[in-house]
Amino acid sequence: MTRVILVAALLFGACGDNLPGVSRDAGPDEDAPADAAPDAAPQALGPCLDQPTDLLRPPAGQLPCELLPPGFTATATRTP
Amino acid sequence: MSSKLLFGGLVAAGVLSSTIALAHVSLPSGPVQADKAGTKITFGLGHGCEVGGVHYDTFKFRVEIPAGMTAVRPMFSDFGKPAVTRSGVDVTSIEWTKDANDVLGGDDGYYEITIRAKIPNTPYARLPIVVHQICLVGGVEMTTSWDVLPPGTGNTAPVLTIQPARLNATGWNKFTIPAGVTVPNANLGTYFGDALIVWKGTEAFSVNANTVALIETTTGVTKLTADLVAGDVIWVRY
Repeated sequence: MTRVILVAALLFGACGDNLPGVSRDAGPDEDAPADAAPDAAPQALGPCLDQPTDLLRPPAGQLPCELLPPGFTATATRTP
Repeated sequence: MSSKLLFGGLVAAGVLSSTIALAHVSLPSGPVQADKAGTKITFGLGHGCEVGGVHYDTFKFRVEIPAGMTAVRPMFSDFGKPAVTRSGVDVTSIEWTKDANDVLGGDDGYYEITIRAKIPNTPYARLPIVVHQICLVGGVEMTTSWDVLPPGTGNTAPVLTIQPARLNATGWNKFTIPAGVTVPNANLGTYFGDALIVWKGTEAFSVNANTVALIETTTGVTKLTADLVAGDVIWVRY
């Protein structure tokens, strides 16, 4: 009896949630451009409060806005 | 020569040459914030004493409270209850003594001993705390004093780094360097080692090499290379 229960438990545990049509990698499109801006126009570098629509992303050669102090302004060209 | 005589000789040699403690007393609790009450300071005893090539367990530990440190309260420890010495209302020293039966046969223990205190309002300072480590050698107390003040070498006292008091523990803090204080650029890491970034105008500092790389590649931003002097306003992100 114990063996039967053990086998049943193993079979149950082996069943995943592989539902059809659902991808585990249903995240953002990785081929999409990293920046919402269509070109690399010069853009003022400022703290996050001044860029409320920007998303947090790994830094790409520039200090991320969360590391820029309040009131900071500098002109930079953002890497596309 | 009897073993008793040999041991007596070793003890006498120890008295003359003092003991050798195997490692400096550390402060594993790390830097503290200026003027902050209820700050816990932990002393780490990584090793006991060495006399004549023999290693001994620590039997007593004594802390001399530096001037300006107030509201001092010791915690119980592996050494048992603390004994407090006062001058008026001020605690001047605290000693912990282990039960002699609890002394280990060798230098096998690591001990942490903690006090709670209000930190002096001296940001950007390094405060030495003189301590004494005592071992029992053949029933005789042998003392190693960690009392050499910076920049001396040898039995240097553990040094408490006092950072500016932060209002925002995990965000931006605006500090003004106090009158009479200069923070050498080389010491920025001492006082801002746990900060994500430090700004003075468009100059920035970080102990994180990746952030430094970004500082160097961000247009309009340069590395902070000068000392901080009285009146300088800085932004610090923790």
